Amino acid sequence: MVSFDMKKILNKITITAAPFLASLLIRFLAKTMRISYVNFERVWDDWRRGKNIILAFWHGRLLMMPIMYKGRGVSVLVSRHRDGELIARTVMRFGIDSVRGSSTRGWLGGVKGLLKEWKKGKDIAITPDGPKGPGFNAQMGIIHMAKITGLPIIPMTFSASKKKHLRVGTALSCLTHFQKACLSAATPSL
Amino acid sequence: MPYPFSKGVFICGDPITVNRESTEEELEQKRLTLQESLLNITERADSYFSVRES
Repeated sequence: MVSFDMKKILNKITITAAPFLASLLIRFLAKTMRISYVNFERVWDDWRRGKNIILAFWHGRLLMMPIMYKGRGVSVLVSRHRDGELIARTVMRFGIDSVRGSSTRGWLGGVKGLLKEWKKGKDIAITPDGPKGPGFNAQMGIIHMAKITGLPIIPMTFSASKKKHLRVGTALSCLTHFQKACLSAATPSL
Repeated sequence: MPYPFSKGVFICGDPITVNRESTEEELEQKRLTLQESLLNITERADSYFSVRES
């Protein structure tokens, strides 16, 4: 089947190219922007002394987080879906590891993987509202992680003087539409 | 998504620690504290460049 193969190839291209392009974009933004850090003294001190922390930020503020991290190693919890794969591959380009799991389908999902990372001496990063939402509603998983590990949760956020509101989901659905358009263009209509 | 050549700000909230002997109620309290903190600092970050912080 031609279209099936095309779909597989396109998927492969997207999953390889999109994270690369995203990382270029993030680096470009970081290079050109003037960025301030507010109330970071405690976090920087923890990193200097090798004390682990749990970073918490809304899923919608995820984009620029890779450039903020200055610790000794961090693993981020991402979903098992394709957007999770894209995020995992993007942050990998910044030396950030990821654990696949789901905060919406029960907090136990990613906990085992995260505990393993913590035992290796890594920090943990979680988006407590998860990729699917409800947005701005913290799920219980991160609180359980803090209870088990005894690590402090550091709430964190990012904003810019000029920005376009674009949900992560929007960018991903653009990709899907792009793939569909490529597919229909490549498939001879009878 | 931020515009290139704009100004950006990262803001941290106060750390939240969870006691190992916490009850369900206390855990829920911590969840709310985290949620409030994230909402607060995000609002603060969004208005950071329009309202000059002292």
